Amino acid sequence: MKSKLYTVLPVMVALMFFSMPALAEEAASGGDNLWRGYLAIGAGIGMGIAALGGGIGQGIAAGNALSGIARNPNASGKIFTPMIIGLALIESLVIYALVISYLLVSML
Amino acid sequence: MYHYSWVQLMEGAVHALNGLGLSGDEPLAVLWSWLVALFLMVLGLVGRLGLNKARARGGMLQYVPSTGLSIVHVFEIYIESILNMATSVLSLKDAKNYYWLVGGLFIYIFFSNILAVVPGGMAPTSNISNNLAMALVVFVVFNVEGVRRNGLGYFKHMAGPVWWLAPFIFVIELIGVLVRPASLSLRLMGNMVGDHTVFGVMSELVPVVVPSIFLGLGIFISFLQAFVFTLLAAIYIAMSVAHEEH
Repeated sequence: MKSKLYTVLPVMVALMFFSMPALAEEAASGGDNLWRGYLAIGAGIGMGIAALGGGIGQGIAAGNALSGIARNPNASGKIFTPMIIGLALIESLVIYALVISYLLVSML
Repeated sequence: MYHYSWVQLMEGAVHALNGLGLSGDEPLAVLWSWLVALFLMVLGLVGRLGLNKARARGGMLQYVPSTGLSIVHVFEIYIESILNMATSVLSLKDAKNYYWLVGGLFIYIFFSNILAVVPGGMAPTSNISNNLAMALVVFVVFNVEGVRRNGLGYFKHMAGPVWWLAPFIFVIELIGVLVRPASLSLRLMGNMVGDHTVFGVMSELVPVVVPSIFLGLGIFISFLQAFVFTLLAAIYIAMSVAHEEH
């Protein structure tokens, strides 16, 4: 098995070195539309960070509501409604980031 | 005899609305919102007929609910639930005063959102102009009621507790008040458009049974967003009107 690796591996490395000029040519010709790449990366990362913050915030809200229900199961109806309102308000901030991300992607 | 079809009628209506200056998907949103308005008018007529039938019983009997299942029961459940929600933030007298806004907003937004779940339907609330119209109505109502009830004290309350921080806090509060219509309309539009888009993408991935879960999520989100919009409208009115106890 080791001898097979010694024959295949140098061939692969040689092929990589032979294809490098073609890759370099691709990178140089994409300079004119670089702003589209930045726009796409911005839209994706922005939405990701918004989802991260929204997930953490909603997790804290739901966790506190669940511990309140665990303490006092009779009050589950009165805890559920404010929890839903809180979740919807936290989610609205994530939705603002989604709208900005839609705007950015439509400008691509 | 030239046979017209519904498609030609819709295209003619879209063309007319384009001539009025609407573009993009706004003509379709306007047409769907007319459908919702028509449906709500029919519902109102049904409720009125039920109320007349109850009043015709006369005396104390008119307050007794009718036996058997009838559409009037649905109206009673709905009105009582919205009144409970409004009285959790407003006083009972104020809840009855502004019930026209709160009750109307909820049922209009709920039925507009549900249209997105129906196959082939488009929710008129997925267009920002529709939501902005409703949010501007809420904005005008809570400002006018705040000035009418509290006079200039409405603006004095926006200046904060101490006088030497007043310019700073006044600007912050003013921006917070001005951003309320934008946040209301963007929240509703973003939820509806995002929900519809997620359902579309999921249907492309797995065309068969799995996307029906997103239809259920769509119904839940429709109800929740109508509830949040209405509750926030009630809260803004409560915050503007309730400045007497200082």
